[in-house]
Amino acid sequence: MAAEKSSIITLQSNDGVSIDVDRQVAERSMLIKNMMEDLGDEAISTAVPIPNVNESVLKKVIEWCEHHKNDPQPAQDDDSDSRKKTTDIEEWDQKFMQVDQEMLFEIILASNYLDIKPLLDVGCKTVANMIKGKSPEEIRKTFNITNDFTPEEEEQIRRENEWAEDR
Amino acid sequence: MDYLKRLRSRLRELQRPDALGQAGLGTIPLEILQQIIEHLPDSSAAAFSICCIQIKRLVGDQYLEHLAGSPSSTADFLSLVAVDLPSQIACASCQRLHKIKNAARYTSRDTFRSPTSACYLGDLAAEVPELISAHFSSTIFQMTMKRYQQGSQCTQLLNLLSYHTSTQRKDGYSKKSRADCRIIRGLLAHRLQYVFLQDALSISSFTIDPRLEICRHISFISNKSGVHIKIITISDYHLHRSGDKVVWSLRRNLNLQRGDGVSSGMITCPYCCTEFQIDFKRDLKRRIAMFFTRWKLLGAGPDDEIWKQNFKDQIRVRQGTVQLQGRPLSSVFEENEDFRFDSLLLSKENKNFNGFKSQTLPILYS
Repeated sequence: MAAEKSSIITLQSNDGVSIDVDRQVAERSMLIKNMMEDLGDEAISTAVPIPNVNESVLKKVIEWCEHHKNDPQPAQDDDSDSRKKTTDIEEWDQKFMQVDQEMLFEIILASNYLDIKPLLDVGCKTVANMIKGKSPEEIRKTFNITNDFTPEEEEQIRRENEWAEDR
Repeated sequence: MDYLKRLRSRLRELQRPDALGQAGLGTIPLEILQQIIEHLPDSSAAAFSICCIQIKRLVGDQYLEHLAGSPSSTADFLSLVAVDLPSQIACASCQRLHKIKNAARYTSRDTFRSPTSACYLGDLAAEVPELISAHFSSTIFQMTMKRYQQGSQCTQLLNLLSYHTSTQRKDGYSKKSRADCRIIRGLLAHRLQYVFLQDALSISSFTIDPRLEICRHISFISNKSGVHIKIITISDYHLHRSGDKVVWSLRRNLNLQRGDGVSSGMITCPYCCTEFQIDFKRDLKRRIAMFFTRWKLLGAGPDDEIWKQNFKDQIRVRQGTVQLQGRPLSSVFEENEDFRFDSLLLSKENKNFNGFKSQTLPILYS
């Protein structure tokens, strides 16, 4: 069966670039895997359009899929609290995610669209690690968020959280 | 009126900057944002939720509400928020923010109204006044270090942690004391001085407080067999004191001639950052005075391991002296000034000690 699956398929990014990928690698994406199963050999002969992902992001996603091609597929219902609360990322993935924020969020969006849960998970954990242990102002600086609270709204938050203030 | 209110609110929304307009985070759909937040501890999720009104509206108040159920999450959240509040600190004991301008509330100086805050009571339970000095407060320590890290003036706070000469009279002797604090290279250093001075000539032997806790691990004991400085053996601390080591001792009847002195020399605690010296002198009126000077390094704040060592029984043995900038703590604290251990005496009292010869007795254990 493994020999059958080692055929090449072509993915086409939204900027029109075709990239040949081993089918086993491409099938880390549940979207592509289901498409292959539905369309059969017909899909192999034509380029698969990936309308939401540009060339550079698609190449990056393929790089991740290549490295993780032999990983077991995650269980569909693996939403346990222990998995959610951890922000541990394996070393290779940490290096892989050392990209600028624009690319990081593009990878997250692409993995969501292509339905690559483990990659989406790594992306979310990376962002969570960037938030963890930071004050609201430090988070704003990290992500270039503008503080848009009016003085009245800040006062309202303070009133709602009066328990935290000195009496 | 309602119409005007709605109009004002609408105008405010139109004028409001797009908080996420320049942020990549703004491209992320809500369900992924939720997924990111699920990886965060409640304290960070709550801090994230108050970054901007857009995020607050998206994720709601649920994470702020979660804090109520967990004292440790609340303390963590307050620590995060306090980073953005230059004039407040997060108090883990009280689960509140404390304003630095209210620092005096957290000491026992005001004898008419003793503080009732959890942090003050926590200090009492940890024996902070006994092990560091009277009026010392870990809350004011935290405030001082915050001010210092901001590069702001912290003299007033250092003064609250210190006290200047107080005199107590007891049976047969008077006790003068003084405590001073300084920040050296981002670490709080503390000096405590006591002078015990005999009142009457009739007392032939030296009698002062029977026990003086120099630190958690070293005691000064004055009893029938003499004067001892003992290191309390840590592993046996709660069981028995049979393994305690006497590091320095002096026979009870100090056979000092008029104007003679004897010194323990500098002794360092092997378990916490404490150095001390005890000096005895007999003045021209044949009264004996004991001078106790102790230097302590208290660290960068109440979360610092250096501070925690002062209250721990089971800790690692440190090799050598307490070094700061490559020099002993006492020498750095005194800034090479000619430190006089008898500086607490009034000049008229000190006159009686002029021209004395001091001898340093060796330390028995090193």
